[in-house]
Amino acid sequence: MAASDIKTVILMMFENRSFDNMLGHLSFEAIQPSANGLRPPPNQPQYANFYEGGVYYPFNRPVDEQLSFDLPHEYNFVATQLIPGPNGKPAMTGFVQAYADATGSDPNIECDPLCFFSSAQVPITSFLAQTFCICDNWFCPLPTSTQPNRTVAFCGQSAIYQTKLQAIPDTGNIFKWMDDNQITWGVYHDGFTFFALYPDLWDQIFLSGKFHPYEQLATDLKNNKQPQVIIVEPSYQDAPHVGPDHPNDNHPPLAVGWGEDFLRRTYQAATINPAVWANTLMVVYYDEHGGFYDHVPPPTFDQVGTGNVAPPNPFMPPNGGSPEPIPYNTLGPRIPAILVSPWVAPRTVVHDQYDHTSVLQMLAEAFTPGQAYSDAVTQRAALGINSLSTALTAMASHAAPPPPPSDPIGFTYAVLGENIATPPDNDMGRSLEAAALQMMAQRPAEVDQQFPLLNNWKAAIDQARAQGAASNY
Amino acid sequence: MKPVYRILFSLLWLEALACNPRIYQFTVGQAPTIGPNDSLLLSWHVKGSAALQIRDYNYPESGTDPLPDLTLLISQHDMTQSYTLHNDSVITLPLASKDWLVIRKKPDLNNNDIVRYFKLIATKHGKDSTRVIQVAARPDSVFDEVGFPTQLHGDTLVAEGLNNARRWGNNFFILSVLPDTGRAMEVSHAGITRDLHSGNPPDYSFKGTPVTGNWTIRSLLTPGERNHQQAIATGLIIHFIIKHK
Repeated sequence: MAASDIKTVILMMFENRSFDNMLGHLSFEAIQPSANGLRPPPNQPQYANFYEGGVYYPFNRPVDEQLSFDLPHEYNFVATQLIPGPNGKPAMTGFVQAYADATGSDPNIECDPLCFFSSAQVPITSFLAQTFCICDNWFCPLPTSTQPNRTVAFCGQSAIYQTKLQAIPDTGNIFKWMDDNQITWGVYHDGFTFFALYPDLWDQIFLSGKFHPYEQLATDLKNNKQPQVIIVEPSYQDAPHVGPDHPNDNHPPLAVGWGEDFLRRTYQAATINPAVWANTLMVVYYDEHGGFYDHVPPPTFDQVGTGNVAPPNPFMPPNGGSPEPIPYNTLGPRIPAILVSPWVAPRTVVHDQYDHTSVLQMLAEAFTPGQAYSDAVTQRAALGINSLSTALTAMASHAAPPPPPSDPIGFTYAVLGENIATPPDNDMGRSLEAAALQMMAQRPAEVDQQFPLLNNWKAAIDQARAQGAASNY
Repeated sequence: MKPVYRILFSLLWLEALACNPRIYQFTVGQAPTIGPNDSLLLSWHVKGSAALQIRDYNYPESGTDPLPDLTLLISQHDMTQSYTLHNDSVITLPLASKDWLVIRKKPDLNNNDIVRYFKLIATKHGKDSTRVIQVAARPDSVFDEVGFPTQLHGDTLVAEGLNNARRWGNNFFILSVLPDTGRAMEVSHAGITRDLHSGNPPDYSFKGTPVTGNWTIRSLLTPGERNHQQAIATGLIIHFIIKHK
């Protein structure tokens, strides 16, 4: 067990992709046959999804492009996606049904939730997966959406069950835990920070001096100024954008080219200083599956007692009375997860069962040996969630990290972030925009210091929206 | 919700309604499964400027051979123009924000099994909204399937439901059926019930019946499924050869 050998942890969480969507190609193309991804041919009965007599199978998306819609992934839609089969276990046959329910349109023959990328379409993700270690049994902790899953990832448990316009209660945040245990940390954000949605963390954001522009990451690593725990935040599709800024968090309907570029730059930063790299673990993972199909049913997992708020009955008809909360009884769908480090066996697949709290377990083992992260995380461990340290090797590789592919990545211009003349049209976007506006109203001097571009953004949206509104009347 | 959030929400929502490019409507005039030489009516209504991209791909699992060049005849308001669609290429048409067109392939000997992507792009204030409709242009006679998720009734799996007429329309009928591999099935459709056994030749009992409509598929649990609950099939699928009218 090598957790104590890890001196620098880089956590890089992207948005809304399933394991099969991003890494299913590893077994499909026989690049990494032991990975539990998709296998040819794609039209096998075990991959079938059903919608009104139609049988839908995974398919390789012809090109990386913007999708028509974001995919449904709120708790009620996830319940449809995972709908139990005749043995009572999630059958994974309802992704097309949920898509049709959410969009109100008949699904196409090649239906977006069932698409997967080839190795050529996600060259950096595939390179890292082929070079280092992938985890093919890493599930998101809750079968629901972004805000609850990210909260479990960085707090250990969640007091919310859905994503909506809301201020999220802090339920044991990682920053306080690190401060209490004298662990140095930093957040390097390529744009606005997701942690703005937690009002209890605003002091951390503004006063700690530990939230930095992403561009500073490589410099800090190069000059041995890096903290022990680094959280890298992409530019979120749902966050405020201005000027040439573009989202790179891979959140549908975005194409993933910009996310691949961001991943390449972060890997280059992680490996820039051999002395630091020698004891670095970079975790590349996703908050949840985002509505994309995955063929592995999440395991049974009794979430009672894990501190997570239960959602209403997802199959309760509208206006059907007061829905009784029903605790989740499984984990969420699998997400792509890659461990990048000299402390993992190269070109390997680890099949241990993980979720986002596996990171918290490992951090506790690395930095507070003998002291657990929290009761909620300990409870999940008792129910079968492993620490990420089980994927680490006893001996480090001394080989130099290989350079990533340098070929140009085909970008689909992220039009969603290109223009700020229109406000967001989804709950995550509204939440982040509302948080930004609230911050600017309540703590203008600190916003000037921490997120100066928000001032440009506010001026730009005021002007653009005034013009847009005027042109519409 | 705090009052300030409520106000913000309302303002943002009103502005969103006013400024976004929007696709109010993008539809095909008939079921999106057509024969090789059938015409197709597309209509749309967007806020903003509109463009349509057309591109062909091989139908799923029908091969990866390059598609031959073909000529598309596109009619709008008594005017017909022809466009050549090359393999791996896209036709892009600028459009009015609300209109319709009729598209058909110039008749030729090509009878490929394809999915034709129609991508409508609405643009306003530099922001795009896109919508894709896929239309399957099938050969005169082609393999396909119908399937439903299963429920367990005693020791029998039952999969039943209505096959989507919105997908198939009335232009295709059954020529023959055969079960999914590995198990015997009892199939009921259009007032006909037949036992289908794995390995048997195609069954022509359903010849001439529509693809759409109610289907019921029953199958006893296999010995493997009795011994391992995890192995119980989550769906039952019938393969068939269909013919275009």
